[in-house]
Amino acid sequence: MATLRLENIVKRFHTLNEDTIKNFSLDVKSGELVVFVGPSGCGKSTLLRMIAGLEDPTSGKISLEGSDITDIRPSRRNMAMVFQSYALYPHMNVRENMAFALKLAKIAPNVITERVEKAAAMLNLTAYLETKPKHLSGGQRQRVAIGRAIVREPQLFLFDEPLSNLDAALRVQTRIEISLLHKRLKTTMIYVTHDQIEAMTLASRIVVLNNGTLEQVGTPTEIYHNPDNVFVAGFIGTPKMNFFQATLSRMENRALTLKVADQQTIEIGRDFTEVASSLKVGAPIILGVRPEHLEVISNPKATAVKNKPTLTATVDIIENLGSTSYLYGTIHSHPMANKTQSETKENAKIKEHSKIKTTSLAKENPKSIDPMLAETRTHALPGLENQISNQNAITVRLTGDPATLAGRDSVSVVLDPERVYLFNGEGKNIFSKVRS
Amino acid sequence: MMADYRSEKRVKLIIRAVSAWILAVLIFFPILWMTLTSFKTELQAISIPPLLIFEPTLENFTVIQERSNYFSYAFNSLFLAGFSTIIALALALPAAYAMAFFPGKHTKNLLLWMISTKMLPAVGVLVPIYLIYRNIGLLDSLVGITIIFTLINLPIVVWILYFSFKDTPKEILEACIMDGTSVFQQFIFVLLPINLGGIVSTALLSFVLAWNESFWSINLSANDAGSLATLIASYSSPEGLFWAKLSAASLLTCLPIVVLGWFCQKQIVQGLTFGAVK
Repeated sequence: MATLRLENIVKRFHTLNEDTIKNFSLDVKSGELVVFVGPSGCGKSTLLRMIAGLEDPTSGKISLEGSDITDIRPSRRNMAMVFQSYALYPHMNVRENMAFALKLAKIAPNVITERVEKAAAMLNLTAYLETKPKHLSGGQRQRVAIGRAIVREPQLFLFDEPLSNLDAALRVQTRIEISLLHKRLKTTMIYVTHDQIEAMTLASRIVVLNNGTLEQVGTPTEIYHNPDNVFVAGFIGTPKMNFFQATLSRMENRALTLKVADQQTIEIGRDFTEVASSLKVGAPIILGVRPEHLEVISNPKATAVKNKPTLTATVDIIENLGSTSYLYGTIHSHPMANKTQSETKENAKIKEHSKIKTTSLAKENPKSIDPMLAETRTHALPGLENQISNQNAITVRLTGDPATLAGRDSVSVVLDPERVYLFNGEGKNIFSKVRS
Repeated sequence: MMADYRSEKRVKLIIRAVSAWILAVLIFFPILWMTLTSFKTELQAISIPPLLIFEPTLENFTVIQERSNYFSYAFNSLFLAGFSTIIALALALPAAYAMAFFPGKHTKNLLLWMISTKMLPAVGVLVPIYLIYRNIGLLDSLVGITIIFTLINLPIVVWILYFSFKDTPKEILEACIMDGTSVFQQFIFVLLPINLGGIVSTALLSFVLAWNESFWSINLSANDAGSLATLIASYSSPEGLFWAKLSAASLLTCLPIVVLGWFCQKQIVQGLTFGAVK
């Protein structure tokens, strides 16, 4: 068990013009399982490799248990690493693979045997000790790789996307095994993954990385419920959080009125006193709602939902997964009133089409925008296009039987005012400012 | 229709088999003729029409041993092929390791440059090398010919080993580093055992190429350091062409390497396909 401290780590590869890791600092407490998560190329593996010593930081300091290890060779750092491709020695059997590091460290043969057999028993590998890796299944190979790390009795375990090469069922099983292992060994572990489900299920704390910068650190619950920004909100949670571009049209202490996707107006009743100073009428807002916090209602006029914010959406497709089902739709840009459904659908399509056209036109020549569509552009949020790809798409987790929605072209979706996220023009969670 | 298709397939198969056999016989014929000639007397060898049925004699082989001491040349061939292969491997293994696992900006260019030296006609550098060898006294010496053989095979050896190493996942080397190996231990305990197939086939190939090398050995050596190729060439002399003895010498040169090749077919093919058959 050990505490790991990363201070102002910067990594720049000479082949790249940009820093791969930009001034990263983190404290890992003893016994924690910290998960680095982020999209590919965000620098999470580079960070892990620097902790392992396989890569040198350009600047910054890494210390383990208080002593500076930045310039210490990997094998002296008292860490063990589990690689994505297992990296087992193909010409050695399971026993030799696990014992290799111990033999090099000149540990007594009886101690080696004891440790290897203990680890093999823990990982259900006793029957395979004399087998070569090529005769093992993917899951068994991964367990050997883990075993090879365990026998070294390291202060720190490093996992580099250890489940990526396994099939879906085995991934779940191995994930649970790693979790149990951590519970049993209580050793500090650092785990790198691009899979947010692994992050949520395994982590004591999650570190969300994007483009070489730390976006947020927190327990899975904190990250899920209080994402600091649009990136974290969109990255954690499946299906992804819904994002809608909106404008703040009216503000009171206990209610905000938002104009969503240019047309639909919703009122969100919630205590906004704390954040009122940071809000301005007319400011662009990104409204975020998780699919599981939305509800499809059959009768929008019913009193129970009358005062709750409601959006109307066309139904594109319903996916039935058995235990749950999801509705994928598009929120209307025009109010439904006085229009037949087919007309509305047609309109939605046209609108969608012209929007694409506007964006591409805008890129080519910002002045040549059709004045009628210019309004759409006023809400453009620079730098956030990647996170909010299609602002009108909506995903809803259905609670009831999806069959009841069969044949429906459009539905009313109710938002829970306590469970909506509001992000400002820079993509920051308006409420997270209050917490910090 | 079914039957038609089936007979069509059969006809195609027969045509293919017959063409393959014709081609094989055409390729094999000179070797067969050389073997037959080596058992004839000089007179039988040049008789027209050529003799197919004759009483075989071992006279050519005994003459070769008596006049030229076959075993001395065979020893030279073995020495040259063996040592040039060992030295080439000793130089190429670290080179291929460095290029495969720690490539620089110009590694690809370097490889290309190395292989491009094989495209240079050897005769173009014969005169300078001959003069250098004469001046430093390496002409007709085993050391000198070993150096030349090493140098001409080195590019190919590095090239094949490079591709063999490149197939080894870098993560395995990183696992070694985490496990605490030195570079030397990495080589001995992990890299060599993993790539043993590739290394053995490269060594075989280098050995065969050195054994068959004739240009440099004929031009730079004579009795002392001459390989079997030199022996063959000595039977085509200004005094005349001795067909039967020439054939016998050729047979004695080909035989060992053909036997070696026969037993190591798989490894040699593997080496030539750069590990694609692994």
